[in-house]
Amino acid sequence: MKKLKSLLRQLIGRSKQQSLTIDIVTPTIDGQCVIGWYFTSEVSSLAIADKEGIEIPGKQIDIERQDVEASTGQSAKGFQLTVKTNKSLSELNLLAKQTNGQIYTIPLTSALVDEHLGPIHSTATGSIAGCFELGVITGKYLFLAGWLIDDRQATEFVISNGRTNIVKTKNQFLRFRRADVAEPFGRNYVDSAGILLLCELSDDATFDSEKPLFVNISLKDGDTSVKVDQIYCDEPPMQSARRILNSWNPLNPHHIQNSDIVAKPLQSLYARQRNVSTQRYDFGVATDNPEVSFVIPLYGRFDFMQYQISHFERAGYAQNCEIIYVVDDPKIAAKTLRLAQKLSRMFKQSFSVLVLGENVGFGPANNIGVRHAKADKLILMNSDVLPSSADWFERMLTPLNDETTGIVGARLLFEDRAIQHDGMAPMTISEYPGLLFNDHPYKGWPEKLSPHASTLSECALVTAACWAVKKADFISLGGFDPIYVLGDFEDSDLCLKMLKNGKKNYICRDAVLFHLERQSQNLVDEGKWKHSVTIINAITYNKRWKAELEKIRESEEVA
Amino acid sequence: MKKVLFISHGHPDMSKGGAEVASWNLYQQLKDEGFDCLYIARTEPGSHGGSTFSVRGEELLFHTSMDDWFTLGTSQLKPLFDDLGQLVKKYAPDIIHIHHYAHMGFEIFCALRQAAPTAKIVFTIHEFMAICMHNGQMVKKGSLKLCKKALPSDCHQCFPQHSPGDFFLRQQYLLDQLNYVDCFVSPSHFLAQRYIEWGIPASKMHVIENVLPETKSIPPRTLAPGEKRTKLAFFGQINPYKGLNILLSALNSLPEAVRSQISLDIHGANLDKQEVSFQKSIQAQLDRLSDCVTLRGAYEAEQLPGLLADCDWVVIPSIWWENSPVVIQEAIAHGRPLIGSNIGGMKEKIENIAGLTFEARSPSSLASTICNAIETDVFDEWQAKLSANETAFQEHVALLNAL
Repeated sequence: MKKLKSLLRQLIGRSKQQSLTIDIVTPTIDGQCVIGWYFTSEVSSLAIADKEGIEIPGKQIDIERQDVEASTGQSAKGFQLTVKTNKSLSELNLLAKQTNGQIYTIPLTSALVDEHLGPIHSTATGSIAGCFELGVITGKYLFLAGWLIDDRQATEFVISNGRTNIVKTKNQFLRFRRADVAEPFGRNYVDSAGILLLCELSDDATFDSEKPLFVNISLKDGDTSVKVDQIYCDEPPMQSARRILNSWNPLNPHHIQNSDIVAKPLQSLYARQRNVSTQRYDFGVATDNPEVSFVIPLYGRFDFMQYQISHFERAGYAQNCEIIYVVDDPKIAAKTLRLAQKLSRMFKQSFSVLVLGENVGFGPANNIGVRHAKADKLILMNSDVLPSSADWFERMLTPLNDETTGIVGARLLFEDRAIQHDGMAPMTISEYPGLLFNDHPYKGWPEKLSPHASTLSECALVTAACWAVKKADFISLGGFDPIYVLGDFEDSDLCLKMLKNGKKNYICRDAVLFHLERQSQNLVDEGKWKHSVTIINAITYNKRWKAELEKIRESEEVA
Repeated sequence: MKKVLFISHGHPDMSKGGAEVASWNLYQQLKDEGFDCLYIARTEPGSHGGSTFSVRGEELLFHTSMDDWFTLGTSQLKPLFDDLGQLVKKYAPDIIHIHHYAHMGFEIFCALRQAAPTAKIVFTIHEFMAICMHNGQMVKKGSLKLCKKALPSDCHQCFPQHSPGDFFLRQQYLLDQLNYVDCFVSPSHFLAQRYIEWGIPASKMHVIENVLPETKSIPPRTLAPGEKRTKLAFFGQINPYKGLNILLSALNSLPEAVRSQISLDIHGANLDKQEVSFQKSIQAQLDRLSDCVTLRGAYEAEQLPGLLADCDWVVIPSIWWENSPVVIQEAIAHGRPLIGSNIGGMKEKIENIAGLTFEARSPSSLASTICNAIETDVFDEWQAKLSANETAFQEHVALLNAL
């Protein structure tokens, strides 16, 4: 139960120590405004400071938060803190002085910005008020978010670029509550004003960035044309993903049922980048016929490469291996190559750096790396994995000699030798009835309390933080499916495909490596939108594998 | 005779740290013994014509720098791998005696191994920098609590910008680099044990004390009739880790009868470089003790015998572990017993050997130890027991010959 709770906390983006929650950060004319709440037993005062810790004078208004008190059972206070500053959000921290005297620093990030906040205004001409505040174009989709005071009458939407309709007639929409719209228009409209609308663009659709788009709606009382306030297209995918997910609420079952409305544009956002430019740089004297190819994606933290190459050099087992680092982050490409130069000056271990033209995510980055791999056997490894000794290598590779072996995983430990991964299992979360998630049983436990012996055993689901797999198998199953946005479930998805294909997966619990989880991924701002991505991925995963996952769950319960 | 290349992170003419002085003393004595030696001391970049080396007498100055204090690394590989590398190849030493990596970079082990694949690399460890990012103090930031072990999660508390995982990786990386070393020398068992627990193989570790130049013992100060052994001396930097504040508090709490006889000479510098709050608190203590404490400032090595001759006891009240402070060996060699904190290198080198120890960080324990120490019979007992370490040099020679 504890384990479940902690996972849930991670999923809903609150750490267990968090005594303060920021609901919204919004820019003002001359500064920033932060709105949230805190437990009065834990936090005594608040301030906003720059990165040097210099406090910026501000105005704080207290807000009653009976809703928080009711749901947590703790005494809580809401706040609205306004500061005048010309610094950007990324240069500011919220300082929460704890009742124990410690100061808790929370960086303010744009992930906290609510796009819809601010005074609402109607852009409609015709019988009703309304506005589409946001339009995002991703591949063949146009995604729109806004509000309409139409009493839920609108069912058909025609999108015009001023001259012609640019979308196919069949479109999907989702109506939901928009509290900010309810205020000015009155309670009657609370439940229905918000709208998410997904349209498929017609094949000959054209845009003129100078000219606005209009959503035309036919209603009983006459036609209405609603202007789209802001259109976003060709933005970095992560930015578009945030915009799309901003109004989607995964805790609302109605939104879960209609997840397609955000899942489709999101998936097309990432799927369409598969043909990225790649540039390969080889360092050191490579072997012509490597026995094993390592594929290691790098994102954000490129320095992990230094620790790993240093280990390989000392341990020696990778001398006849090909080590391919896939730089899935254009921002770090130059620095990574500089470090690679240095490492090749220091060490004999050869390795390659594959620089991708854009960020494609964990799965696709691996797929590209595998395409460059020369050996028949692959080790897929995260950059924040460091082997504990040399013996893991043979232990994980040996099972691949058996034709029936699919994927071999490893026992992974945190730096304090607590278990990070000992095999995965499907689990439910009460907030999301009907969905199965990946659990890491025994996570955080000391190794000796694991019920599993330190041997090779069959295990359906193993984390791709460290895999041994035959290249032919990986490729024949299509590699990691890019339908999973930003890296979630694609490893268990491939495990299940392997089983479906008649192979067996294993975990090699006597192959022990350290996995400093959350080191390589934590550069992506955590927040509501990231949580929504996880849920979207979970829905895709469950649609595909629900029956198989239930079987695995039953068999584990029996065991 | 074997050819020995010395690498020091500073030249003692310019920087008088323990490691610089220890490497220099060993270098001088090995030369006298007939070893072919070359001494390379690191100094600031910016030499004539941009050359990586310059000459100072018989020694070389190595102009380089380091820029990553997390992995103790440098981005300047040319000075290490190309320039030093070529010089080492030409000199072709049998033994490379490294006394520090600071300001040069931890890559130096790898660079030297590449340049001299068959030479034996000896690394004398003088402090805990590799284990503890807090300048190797093994004392927690802020609270100044003593650390017995560098646990990644504790290190993260001192340096929140680096995760526990980062500290784990740092340790593994540094251990990888130290794997190029054939033989480690530690001047104290205490430091040796800390490094063995951290991951250095015990089989490679040798405990040998630093060598001192030949020194004559100075007879005890002549006492006036009825006078006691009340002249104390403190040698060292004045910073929060050296525990001068503990010593001053102890003096302040002495019974009036003792206090009226006591005098303390402080031979140390750099108070002005400390944080203002620390300076203020030391100054306030000094003001209260103006009757018995004199701040005498920095001193040159040649002055040391004279300064020691003027005192009875040398006090070393550090609140951190220390390794083998050179002041202890010097006091012993000059015939002066010590009063030291009962932790780490001080406990090892003083307790039951060279004087009295007190409960580290406790002014009251130090005060009662001082009350005991001023008695002439106590002083005489410890003064008589002092014996300079005369075997250290031969142990160093034996180690080098055995490699």
